[in-house]
Amino acid sequence: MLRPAFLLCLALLPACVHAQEDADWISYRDAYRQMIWFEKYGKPKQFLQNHFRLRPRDQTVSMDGLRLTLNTKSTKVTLALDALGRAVLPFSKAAYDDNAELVVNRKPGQFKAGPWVSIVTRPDGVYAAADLRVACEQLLAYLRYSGEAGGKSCAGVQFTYLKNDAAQVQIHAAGGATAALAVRDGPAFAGDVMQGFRVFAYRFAAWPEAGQVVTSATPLAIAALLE
Amino acid sequence: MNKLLPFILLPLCGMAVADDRAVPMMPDGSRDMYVGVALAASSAAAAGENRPVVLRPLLQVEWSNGIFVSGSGVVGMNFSPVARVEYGPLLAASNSRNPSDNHRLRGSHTIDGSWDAGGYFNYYLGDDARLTSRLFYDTSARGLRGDVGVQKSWSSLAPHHTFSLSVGVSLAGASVMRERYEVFRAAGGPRDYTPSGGIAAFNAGANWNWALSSKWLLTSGASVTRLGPEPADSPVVERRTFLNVYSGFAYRF
Repeated sequence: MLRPAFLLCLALLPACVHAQEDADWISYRDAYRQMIWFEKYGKPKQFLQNHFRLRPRDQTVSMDGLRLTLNTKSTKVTLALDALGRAVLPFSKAAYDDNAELVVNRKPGQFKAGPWVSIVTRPDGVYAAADLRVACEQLLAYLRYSGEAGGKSCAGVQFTYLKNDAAQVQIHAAGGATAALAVRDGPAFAGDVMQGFRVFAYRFAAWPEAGQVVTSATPLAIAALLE
Repeated sequence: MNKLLPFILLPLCGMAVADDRAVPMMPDGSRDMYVGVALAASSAAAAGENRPVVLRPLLQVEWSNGIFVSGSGVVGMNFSPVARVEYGPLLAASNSRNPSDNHRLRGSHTIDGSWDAGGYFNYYLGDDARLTSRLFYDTSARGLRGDVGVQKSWSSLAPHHTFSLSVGVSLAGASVMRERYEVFRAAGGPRDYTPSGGIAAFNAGANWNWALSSKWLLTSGASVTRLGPEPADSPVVERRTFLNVYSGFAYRF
């Protein structure tokens, strides 16, 4: 008697799933739990920031029109996404207790979703070289803590701009000499399928330890180069 | 559940239901609770007995203060301040048993269904894998038992599906083994048998969770258990290796 009942339940399943075809959802509780790791992390992290990020799984997935919404029983809040798919996830007890959903306006399976740590940008655009080294080490330490670093070490940091952004990144040595960092096309973060950004790699080994890195405009993101 | 096999409980819903990163890190005063029901079947029944499909509860609760409850009758608390490890005290319900329950149990000991106290330690290896270990003082047998295992899960193979595999071994001291598997001819048993401490069982399991929404979950699994040599030789044991399967729906409150 139980078996037919169970089979009936199974038969009804696709109906529930089908209703959500054009949108995908993420459990807010699961997202909250992943994101709270960074908040509870007790070691130095003043140069780091943590976003909730939607990463396209392949190059055919477009970011155009992508929208992330937090749907609770009473409200729908659109979370702003940057060009790299990153959003600030609010830590809300109400949303947690509601068992809210984060809704992405795309079919399931197009994006990977989860926490994404990067280096904070500065409004003045002036970064002490020593700070960038510390920032990279902080990021590496955090990835080790969350079990993702896998024996890598810090080689530098990378500044990312949109393709049409004419920004420049310069090195100001302690003695007063300046030099421009070379620009190339590439992804903002290692392993991303999104290509076509203007990226400036600042490799620690290639430049003196003292000095500053000066950007002419705020980058989209600063990534650690781990090798 | 087959009362002969106290080690073989429904695969802990909580281990597989929750994300592997699930540390009790939630807003103060909040909780995360799954309640549901599953159909379960086992090949553990003796030859000649029917093997009914039974309804079993699915339950897993975690509170922000670190206390958790799982469907296999385990209550515990996580004391770890960091996410990489989990440890704390545990209380586990154990099945009672009486020699008159079943023909196979004649000459065996009566077991009280008292709560066993112990602790656990889990270590996250990265890549959604973890080592698990538990140690209990069995209050009815007045002895130690425990288990160690490895679990790994995969959550990005398909959207909303999580697969996990686990392997483990459970160990029991001599007094726990005797309480479960010792038989006296004088008490009506077929022969005298006294086991010593050692490996109680090896087990391997697989679990598949399908999150239909943020509220509904379809959870299914199978596990194989092979009893250790000491239990296997006992007259109360008819099958050394057996299979458990289950599938059910849970609602996330």
